[in-house]
Amino acid sequence: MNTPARHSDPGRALAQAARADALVLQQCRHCHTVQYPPREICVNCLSDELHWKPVDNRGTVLAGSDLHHSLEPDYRQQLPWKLAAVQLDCGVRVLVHNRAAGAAGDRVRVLAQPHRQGNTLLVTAAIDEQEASP
Amino acid sequence: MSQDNTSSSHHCAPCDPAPGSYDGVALIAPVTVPYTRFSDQSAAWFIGRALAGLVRQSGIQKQHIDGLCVSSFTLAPDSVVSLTEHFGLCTRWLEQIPLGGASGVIGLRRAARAIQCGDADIVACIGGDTCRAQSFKATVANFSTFSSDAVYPYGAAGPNGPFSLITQKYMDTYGAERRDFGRICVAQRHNANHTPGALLGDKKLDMDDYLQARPIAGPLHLYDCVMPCAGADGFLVTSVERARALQLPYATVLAADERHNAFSADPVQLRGGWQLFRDSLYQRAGIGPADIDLLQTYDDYPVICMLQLEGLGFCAQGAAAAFVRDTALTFDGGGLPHNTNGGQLSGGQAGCGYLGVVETLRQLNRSAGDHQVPQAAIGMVSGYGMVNYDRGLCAAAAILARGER
Ligand SMILES: [Zn+2]
Repeated sequence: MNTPARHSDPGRALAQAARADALVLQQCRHCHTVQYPPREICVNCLSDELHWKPVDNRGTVLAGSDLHHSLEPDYRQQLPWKLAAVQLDCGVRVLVHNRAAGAAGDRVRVLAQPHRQGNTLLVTAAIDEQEASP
Repeated sequence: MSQDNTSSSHHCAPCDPAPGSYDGVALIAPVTVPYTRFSDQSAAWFIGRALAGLVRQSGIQKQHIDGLCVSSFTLAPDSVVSLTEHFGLCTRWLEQIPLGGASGVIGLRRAARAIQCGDADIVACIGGDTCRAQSFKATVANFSTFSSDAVYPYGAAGPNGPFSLITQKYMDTYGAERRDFGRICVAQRHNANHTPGALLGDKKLDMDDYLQARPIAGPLHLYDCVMPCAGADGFLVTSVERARALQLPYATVLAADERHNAFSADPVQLRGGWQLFRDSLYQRAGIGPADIDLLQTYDDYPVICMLQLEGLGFCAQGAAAAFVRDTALTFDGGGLPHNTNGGQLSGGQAGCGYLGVVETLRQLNRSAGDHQVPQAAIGMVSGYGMVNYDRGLCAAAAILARGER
């Protein structure tokens, strides 16, 4: 696959921190802000003391769309590819592969799954009703 | 849904104090190096041909140009200083603006201050790009750190991905329909049909064509998506005194402003930084939206035109679909002439938002030819750019006036 492997250091760290049973995102040790996409400085207090923590992975689908066109041959075989934006209860917005086909307003879980070249891909998963409310 | 709460750890300050006046600054000599879908020439070639056009049109000799401001997505590994050597310029002021579709308006602002402060006498402002078969993909794949980590792996759709989500959210929130976006695209094609050199200007587009186009991403179909291409646009910034002495038609800057990473807590981008400065912008210009004779918005996707119509006060937040149903957007429709040369959607995307600035100057100089807006005296040009993650971060706008002879 010729997708650029040029993930940043924090991007690779996200993949290394990923766990099957939880969503692990970057959190500031000082002010506890959770942030995404990963970076090297806290967006709130500018501390560089960041660590990887399991977060509440429940969220609400903001919008979804089916991609009918891709710049990469590998994705072209998977079209239409389900893209969505999800607002997580822990405070961050994530773009995801919408495998659970959640519609706008639906409650979902977001998990990190192994992807090509040691990266991870955030994907939606169904959520049962009891777990859905924040 | 309410997006009026800006409470966030990274909130935006209101526009106080406001930028000072741009008195005494003149914009002259709008030039375009014709756009082509693909080119074997480099970005330096397009920028250099624009510079030659500026010299030719103004009658100002190359050695008297003492400032250069460029924007390009395809100039690397060269930069603005490399270009001084390419073109044999010895300048005392240089600027390179990497702000995507806001670069034209922002280049204008930076150059105007250089003129006012005496840092330069004549600044050439140029946006130019080349386009090769794989260059768009390379630009998109490595656009930003966040994009490489958190956008490109999600289907590798380029900007169509995030903008499909913005468009869908806008439709869900405000009830806009595909047909409403279509009105913007069809009006721009009409304008392009009257603009020699517009890349799609020899093709007609009606609402049926628009609605029947093939799907690209969610609500976005073929005619919602801008076509990357090669080309360049430029203009000169100098003093009103010099423009008059050279007997060149010119435009003045009534007001201009910019804002970046505004409303970052909004879940999906349904507004941009324009909201934060537009009241002050109009106040400084001494006019209101009703006084604008023509408007150029940055049109990578029609929903972004709607955000600008709302953000710049032509209609209320969420009311742009109704506005475009009721208002002719063609150059000759008697409503609000909008993207009067066809914009990027019908003209192609190159040159980082310079297209709208150059078109505004042509209209105010009354040199727009077949698509001239009669009696054009005041024009507004808006910029938008840089989808670093899930939204465009840069917003800018300028109100320009026809200079007195
Ligand atoms: Zn912090």
